[in-house]
Amino acid sequence: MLGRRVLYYDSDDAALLLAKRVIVGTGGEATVLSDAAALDHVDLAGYDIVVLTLDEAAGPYKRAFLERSVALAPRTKVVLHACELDLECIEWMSQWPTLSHVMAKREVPLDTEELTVTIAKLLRRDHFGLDKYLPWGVDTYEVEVRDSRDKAQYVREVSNLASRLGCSDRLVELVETVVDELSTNAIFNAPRNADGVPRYAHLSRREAVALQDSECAGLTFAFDGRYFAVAQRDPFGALTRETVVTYLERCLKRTPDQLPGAGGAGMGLFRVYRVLSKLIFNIRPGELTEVIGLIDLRQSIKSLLTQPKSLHFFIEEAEL
Amino acid sequence: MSHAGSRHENDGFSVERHERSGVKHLHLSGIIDEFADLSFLLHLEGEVMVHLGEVRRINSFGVRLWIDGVRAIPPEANVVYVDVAVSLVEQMNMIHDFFGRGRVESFWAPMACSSCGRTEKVLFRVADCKGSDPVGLESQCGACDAKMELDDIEEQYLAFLKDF
Ligand SMILES: [Zn+2]
Repeated sequence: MLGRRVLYYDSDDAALLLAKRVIVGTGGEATVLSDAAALDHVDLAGYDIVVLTLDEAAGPYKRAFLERSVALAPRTKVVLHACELDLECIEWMSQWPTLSHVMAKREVPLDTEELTVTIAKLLRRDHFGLDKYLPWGVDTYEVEVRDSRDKAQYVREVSNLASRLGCSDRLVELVETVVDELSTNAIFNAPRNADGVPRYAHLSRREAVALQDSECAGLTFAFDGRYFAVAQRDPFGALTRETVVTYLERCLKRTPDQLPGAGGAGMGLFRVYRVLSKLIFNIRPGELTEVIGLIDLRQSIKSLLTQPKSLHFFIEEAEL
Repeated sequence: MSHAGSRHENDGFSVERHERSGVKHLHLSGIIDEFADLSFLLHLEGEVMVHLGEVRRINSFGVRLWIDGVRAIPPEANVVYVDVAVSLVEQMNMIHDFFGRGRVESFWAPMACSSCGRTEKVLFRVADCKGSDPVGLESQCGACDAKMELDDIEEQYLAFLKDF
């Protein structure tokens, strides 16, 4: 445990009690705030994590509070707890490069599992692994992503599980899209040479590319009774938070055909993002990238489309 | 740790052609991705009906190929798209000129039963959706006869109607 002090704001006392228990349960020290007006003058120095629930009461104070919080990076990590994602949170992420966590308030008063994982990952600086989002006992399936000629096989292996789980054709198709886009990205976009220059990005996607052993990506997938989870890991750490945030912002503003290279991976990312419940990027710059997507299979597509989404970037900083 | 599945064949992409009453019919099926051969679009002429109900999905590079292909359709071809698959409706809503100068006659919509939760795709005609806002797509559940509603956000899923 490298840090432990957590400040948590929510105007709902029931949420605060749960949050406090979660923070203590993960080994942290909790300070909780229920008075939104106190956001203006609370002393933020010394906190490792600050969680701001974007409830109605916080409205007049949230912006000034966020400005003060994000200025304390890298020590202080800021987590937004939002009832609806979307454009405003992404715009803030775009504006403030140190704002990297939005936790969706899908459950009332809060999703204790996601809070536990988020707090524990941040305090312990132990970021990687799909297992952190799954209960013990869940079987995880693994596929090595090595050859562009085998992409259809990678896609089929994941979608077979979705089909066996009784997912609708539409959801299976979306799962296939996730794997298609992720594995194309892992083969063509992620690999770099020793100087950090992309090795295969200039090639047509019709060309056969077989990755070397040291370049292979790993695809992991599982189902835990609630979430269909897919993770992909590549040994390059080249993906940046800015790239993802820029794509999402443009897509949410409904200008995807103005994206650089229209119809590229950004659009695939957005289609997938629309139905995901949680999207997590773990990045060790220059070394390792892990993208995790979780889809709540208990929900209809319509509620998946309308529900708030969690978006996290856990980035390992070299100086820490 | 399990190792999933065994090797499967690529779903591929195919185009079947036939002609009826002077109209050329093209039936597209499979996956539109970087390997899909869309060169047939360059050679369309006269009255053409493109059937898209069997297109399973489209990926980012397929979208790029498709847009380039549609833009290259000769102007003398009069193209009508029918049975547009759900994944293509989503693209049509994100990309303004996804079907170029062509006209969309009918499309599939994902419907969900408000009573038993069953989901199914239902084919709707664009002409039947005109004139009311919101459209309020409805169908009858094949399992329990209750009313089915669109399993998507109507203003997003039917955004393309404004263009036709
Ligand atoms: Zn029913």
